[in-house]
Amino acid sequence: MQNTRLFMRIGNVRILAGILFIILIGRLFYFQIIQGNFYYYVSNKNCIRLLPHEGVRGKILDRHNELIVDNRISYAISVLPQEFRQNAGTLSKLAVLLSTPTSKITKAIKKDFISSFVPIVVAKDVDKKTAFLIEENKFELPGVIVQIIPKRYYPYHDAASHLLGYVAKIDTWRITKLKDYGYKMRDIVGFGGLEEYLEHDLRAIGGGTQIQVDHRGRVQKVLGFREPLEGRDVSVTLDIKIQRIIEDAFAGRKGAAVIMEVDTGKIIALVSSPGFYPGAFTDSDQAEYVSGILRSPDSPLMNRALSGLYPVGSVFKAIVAIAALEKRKITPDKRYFCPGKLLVGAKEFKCWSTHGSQNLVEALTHSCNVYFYHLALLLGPDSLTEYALKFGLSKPTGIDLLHEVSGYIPSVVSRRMKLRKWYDGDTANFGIGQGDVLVTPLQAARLMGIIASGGKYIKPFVVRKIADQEIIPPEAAMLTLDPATLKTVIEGLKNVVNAETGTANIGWGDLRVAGKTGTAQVHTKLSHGWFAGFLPYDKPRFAFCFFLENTGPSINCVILAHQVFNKMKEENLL
Amino acid sequence: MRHYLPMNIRAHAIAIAVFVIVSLSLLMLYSEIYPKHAFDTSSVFFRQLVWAVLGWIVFIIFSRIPFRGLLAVIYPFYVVIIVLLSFVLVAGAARLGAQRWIKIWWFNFQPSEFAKIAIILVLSHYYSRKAVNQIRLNIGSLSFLRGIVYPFLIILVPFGLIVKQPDLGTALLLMFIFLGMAYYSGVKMRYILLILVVGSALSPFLWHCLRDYQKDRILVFLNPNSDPLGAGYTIIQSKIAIGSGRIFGKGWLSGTQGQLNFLPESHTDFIFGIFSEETGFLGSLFLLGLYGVLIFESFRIAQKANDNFGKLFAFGIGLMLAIQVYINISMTLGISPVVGVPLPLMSYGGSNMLVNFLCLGIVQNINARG
Repeated sequence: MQNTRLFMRIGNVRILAGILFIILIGRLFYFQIIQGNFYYYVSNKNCIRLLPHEGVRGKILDRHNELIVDNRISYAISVLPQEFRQNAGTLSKLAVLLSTPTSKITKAIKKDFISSFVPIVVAKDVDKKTAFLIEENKFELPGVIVQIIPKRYYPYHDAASHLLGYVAKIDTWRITKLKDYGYKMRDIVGFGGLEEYLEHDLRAIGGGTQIQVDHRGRVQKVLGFREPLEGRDVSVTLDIKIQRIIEDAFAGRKGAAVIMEVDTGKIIALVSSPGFYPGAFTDSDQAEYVSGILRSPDSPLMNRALSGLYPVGSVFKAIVAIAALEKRKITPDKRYFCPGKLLVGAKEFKCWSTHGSQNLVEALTHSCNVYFYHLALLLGPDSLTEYALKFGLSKPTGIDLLHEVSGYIPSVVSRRMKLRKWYDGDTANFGIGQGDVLVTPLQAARLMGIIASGGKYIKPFVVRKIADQEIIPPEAAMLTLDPATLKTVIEGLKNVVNAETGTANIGWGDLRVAGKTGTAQVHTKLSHGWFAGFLPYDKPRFAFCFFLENTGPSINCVILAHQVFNKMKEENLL
Repeated sequence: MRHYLPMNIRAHAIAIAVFVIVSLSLLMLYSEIYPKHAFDTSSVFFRQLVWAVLGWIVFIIFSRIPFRGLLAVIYPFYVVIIVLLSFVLVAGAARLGAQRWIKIWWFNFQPSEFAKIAIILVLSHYYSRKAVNQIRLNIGSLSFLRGIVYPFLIILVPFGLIVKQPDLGTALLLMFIFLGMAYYSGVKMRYILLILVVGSALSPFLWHCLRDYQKDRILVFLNPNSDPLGAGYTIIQSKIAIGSGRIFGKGWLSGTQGQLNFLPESHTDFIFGIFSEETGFLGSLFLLGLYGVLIFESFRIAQKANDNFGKLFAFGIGLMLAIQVYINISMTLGISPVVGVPLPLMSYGGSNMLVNFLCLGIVQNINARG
């Protein structure tokens, strides 16, 4: 047949068609079987979104269950760039509702753009009324989201800022440390103080709703919900009222103050001045304030009460007196004559005044240096070191807060390790707390606590309750001290404040305070002032330490303490 | 090769394949609009159902009437098509930057779909006569003039009108059909290669004639990630849809790419994406198999037919289906540019549906009558 010669080529076309089919099947095999799981993941990512629900961080309450760190709901307005961009009218409508210029919104979008599906915050801390208004009009504002974000709220503003610490976005150092605990970039974590120390308890674990969305991000159905876990509330031993009284009295001066319960070691107030406002660290509007704090030469972020090291000055004389009595070097009646100076070796050591004949109680009352040079020389440096360590100096008190330092007490041994000789002059200086004797205000307060409680080696603490779990500190050990010794020293401390000639007598009325002043010489700067003690002296309840950095003689500190205790008495807090 | 299907099934193979494909199409359209209102009379599902019923009527009519009777109406039909194509350019409804439709009642009539069948008819008629004449005159094969130039001049007018719309996909499809039929008719291979070489040489020049959206599509084909939210979006979403089906698919009504509108055009040109998402690799193989039946049955019918016109027509239809299936699926897989070629009998669209039913009805007729 002629036709068979004509239409011969169909076989080739079949082969070609077959090849095309094989190409398609090969490609399908590649996409659906080799790459299938990847594309399956991508398709889920396409349409499944997680709406985070922030959990609420634990609150912090004081000893009377007064809220000192609370959480407030804050409203943030975010936009989905993908949808937002398609509707020019939305921008102007939103700008009117937020009463900001449109340029500010577009700038925020440009700055924080990650992907067109990731919401961008354009307004933070929007007031409730505006947030509700936007929520009500959400159908006219496609791509605009009102987010509810719990935020730290500080009812007492900057009170106890060092003790509390602050919260802020996690930094790279912390994220490497905390990654294994489920922390993510942009999480809010505690920095410093209790916020950092108790991060594990205070932390809230965010939950979320898993939703299926369509190509424009509209919710189609809810796939799952995980409830956020709230943080545990923390109760502290602090009395926020007393804390505030002290902070007000400092009036911005540099220094620190500690008040603790003598019997238990409960910290009633822990002040470091200057302070800061912890809420500023999560508020981008206060970036300038924050950078000011970080750069300030006064280092306001440092907790001076437990991280600051200062020469303690004459406060140390209380320990020297105890050591001399305990070592039976003197009796309380032992008298030395103070001509205003004492020659030790070839060098003349001065007293701050000329006291004449003094016994121990009088020497403490007048803070006579000459008397204590004699005691120091009698005791020798090793006994001084021994007693300083016995009263908890040169090691951390073990308070439940971070960044406590140990302080420093000189010793003959450590001097020898540096290949330097110890002279009698060093012993004399040691006896009046000068030279290398470095303590923290917290250690000074604890030292007074030990004296006031008859030798109870108390460990100060701040946290008394986490959620419903009471924290009971272990029973304190007793130092073996002769009650007569303490009686004598306490008598001296009482006279410091109450005797006619006492160094701290500025008319205390019936406050019944006992204490010891201290003025520590600082090279080229004004000296540090100390006033540490306890009250009431007949039945001690509080041990305290007031410290002013570079503000001259101790009398400033005594006035500060007087001001505080008067105010406390007025408000019935003693 | 000849006996890959048992005799009794082979007689009805095309009808069975058409029925299954159209059913799958309806299932997919139902699934695509499933979260919305499937039985709304304006929904794509409902409309396609109407077209499928009409299509079956057309299929049955054309598989019964003797196909040689068509010869009498080829040229009048051809003229009507040219008139309609001209009309569409003047008064047609513009959509997506192209004028392809004439609105009749609630039906958007698309003359370029009918132009495909008109051109296949005309070329079948031309080549069947010329080829026989050549043999009679004992010349051997068709000359360049008679094999390529004359038939091209015959189809130039509708071809030009389609390019003008512009409907790049259909124009390309027609060009391939023309060359394929010339090849089948015995035109020398070097003539066909010459046309292909000239065509590729002219392509830089043709680039300037393309509309911006067409240029975009080609650039995006070369690199889909160049514009992931613009023109490349469709290809990326289509790949995600197909890939995420894995072996067994997500199941009917459970696809997310189409139902949640991530994949645009998922009921028309990209219907294979949602089909593949819901039925997986196995479902896709099954659908390709059904197209294989249609295409290779058409070729087998062409081969065994005694009538030259019937031979050429069946071959032309097989070729048309093969090219459409390949271009459509390869574009959803990102291995060819996005040109508006529907997937025969699957994609939503009345004109396309009717034309495919009509063509396959005639092929079935050729099968029956030999």
